[in-house]
Amino acid sequence: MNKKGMELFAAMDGVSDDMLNDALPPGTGVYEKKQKSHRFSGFFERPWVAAVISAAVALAVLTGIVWAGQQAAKDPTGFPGEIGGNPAGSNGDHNEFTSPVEFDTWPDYDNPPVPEDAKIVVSSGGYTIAPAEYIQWKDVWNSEEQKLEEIRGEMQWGELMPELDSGGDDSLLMKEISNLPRIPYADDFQMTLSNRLLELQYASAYKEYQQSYKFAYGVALDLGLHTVGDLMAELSEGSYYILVVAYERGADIEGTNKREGTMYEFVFRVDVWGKSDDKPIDPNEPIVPVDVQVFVATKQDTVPLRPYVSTATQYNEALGVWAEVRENGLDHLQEKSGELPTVIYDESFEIYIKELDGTATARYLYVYDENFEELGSYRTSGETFPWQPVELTTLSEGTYYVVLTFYQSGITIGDQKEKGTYDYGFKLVIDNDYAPETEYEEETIYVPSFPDLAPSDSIDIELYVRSELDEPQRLTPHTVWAFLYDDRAQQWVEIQGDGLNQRISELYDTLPIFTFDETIEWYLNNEEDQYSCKWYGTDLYDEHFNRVSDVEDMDPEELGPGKYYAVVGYYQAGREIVNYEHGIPAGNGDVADVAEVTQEYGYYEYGFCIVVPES
Amino acid sequence: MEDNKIIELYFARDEQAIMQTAARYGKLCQQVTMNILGNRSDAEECVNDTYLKLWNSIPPQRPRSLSAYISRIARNIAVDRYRSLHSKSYNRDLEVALEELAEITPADTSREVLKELVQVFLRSLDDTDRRLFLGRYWYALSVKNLAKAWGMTPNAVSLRLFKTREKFKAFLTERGYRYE
Repeated sequence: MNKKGMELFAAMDGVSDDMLNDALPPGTGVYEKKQKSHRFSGFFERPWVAAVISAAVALAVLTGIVWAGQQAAKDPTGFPGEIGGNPAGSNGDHNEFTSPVEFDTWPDYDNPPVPEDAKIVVSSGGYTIAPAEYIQWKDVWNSEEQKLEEIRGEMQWGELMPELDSGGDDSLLMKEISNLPRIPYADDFQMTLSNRLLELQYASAYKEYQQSYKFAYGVALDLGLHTVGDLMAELSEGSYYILVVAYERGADIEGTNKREGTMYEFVFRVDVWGKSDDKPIDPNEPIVPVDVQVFVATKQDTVPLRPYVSTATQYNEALGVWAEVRENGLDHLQEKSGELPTVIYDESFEIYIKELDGTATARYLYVYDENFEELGSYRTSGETFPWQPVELTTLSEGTYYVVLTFYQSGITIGDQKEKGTYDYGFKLVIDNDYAPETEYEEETIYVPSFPDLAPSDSIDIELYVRSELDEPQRLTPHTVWAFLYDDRAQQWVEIQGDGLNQRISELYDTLPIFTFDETIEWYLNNEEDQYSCKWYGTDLYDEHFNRVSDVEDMDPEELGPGKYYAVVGYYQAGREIVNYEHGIPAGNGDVADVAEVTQEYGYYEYGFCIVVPES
Repeated sequence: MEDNKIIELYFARDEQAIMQTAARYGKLCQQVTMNILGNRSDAEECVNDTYLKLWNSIPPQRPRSLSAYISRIARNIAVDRYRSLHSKSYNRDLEVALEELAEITPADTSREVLKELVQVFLRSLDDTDRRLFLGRYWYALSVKNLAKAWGMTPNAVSLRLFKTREKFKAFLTERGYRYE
């Protein structure tokens, strides 16, 4: 037992009752009766929500929802006006094990009815779209305790998007993107709720950020904005996913102080461009996906380059045109020159390009002198672009600027794609007297020798499977996900993903086979492994590669005869990675100290086949 | 049956109290003890011990939150059992969680001080991070089950937990606590 860990584990006993009840995991039998909607609880507890929502006028001026405000005024006991009466109390006393409300009219919680008229209508620039509805939550409003009680909830966009911001799996969202309604933003933006019983609660905007989605501006009401139109007006240029949450009042529940209600979420996509605001454009936030990594390597150093978006164009289905949405790249070289990293030429010099999806085309390399006059350009191809020494010899001592430009398709929109032109640049110093004082210390500074971006091969997980009928056998890891912490973006960045879970249908016949019996188990070979890596679960697939859910103990009766494929996941820390922002040459011949080191993490998947016999 | 009625049964020394407690909180107790011990028979014994301790402590105690009160008793009993059984029993999931906690446990700090620090730190977290942290290190759920419980992906849960642990370490370092 880890005594040190147990000390903190035991010290957790001091946690308050409120926190414990709030964190009570679903599935314990009591959760369903007492847990509030975790998604909305924080929202309703914020003091500003009370201040904003309780003012009926705040809702009345919501775009196109005059009716909702009128109803709130007529019915002072109704939601959401009631929220104001208890702005912070709903989390205070958890002694509220009220009996669950039975809904005779809605017994099938797995297939809730979706009213035909629960829609929002968005109009902008002459286009009107009624987004598909995403039914979400069944709630009751408890007028005595002044709070909503969740009866049924299903995670959808509202949960998914913030999760993505923390590095979650975005495959679901990526898959759904192309189906979302998409409109151009115009100054006449309006949103109305077509159902008279719907009341707008709040709206959030999520900004597209490379291949993930960034929570951009918080909720509309959090900003003190009163309408979704106000929120839209605040957005800078770019593409956004707008989440609108609305509440529909239901009938009073006879004999109780409660009434039914349903939360709905609506999502649509809006493209904002051509606005005449004065907001500075942040070059750190390319608005279309970038799946390319570029490094410049010399004998002494390896410097990663960051992308500057030169132009990005997006196909607008409604308008039927490609529209340019940004121009801010190294066409403005002189303005940007101070931001470029410096590379000292030391007779060993190469530029490396790594495309993760192979969509970049038509690369060009431009060389400028220190007065930003173009000296020449070269068309490039292939994964690496070796700089020919003979070309360098034509350059005398001095400072030069080098810009690599290429064109890349982005995410799919219908049968079209987004497209962008990206620039990567650096300042090249040629100094024949350059002699760095700091030696490269391989044992303390790891510089990824591109394209070796796979997770550490120093992985030492020894995973075995054994059963009574089969000899123990060590499993071979199938790939992995590797993560690096991007200090600039303050988030984990996935640099490779090609796991067994994704490729089980291709790799199944390479897996060792075991006959199921009651003794089958998989285990780590030594204790050291158990502390250097973390187990993150086992997935089971049937012979058609469908995931078998809720199989905890691999009970043969539960599985039934046939072939199954198990994928065991482990997570392990890998190499230390230099934070390059602090490790680049300083330009005056010195090499700056490496100030920060971060760690690489890899996710490893091991697979094996289980045969459950007929009898 | 609602909590206050169950508590009244305890005060009336009515043995129905145990049955009603089992009906309402039996699954919770089983989960808490099972998560820690990883062994069904040991967990069941702990659940029975939990009921006995409830019977002996109410009255005079009148818990404000019965679910939290029961959870604490069950957890403490399970932790004691795990410590005493360790040479014979080994819960891999719990050991991984303990190892994660060990990495963020400062040197030479008493449990009482740690208790206070944890409480203050948890208040600084947002709802989701706090629930995940407590789910993992109080209710001893595996990452996979935690992800399932809160409708997230295991990757997202593990990364959020990782960040929260780092925050905890920074929180203590700022206050002068040191790590070996």
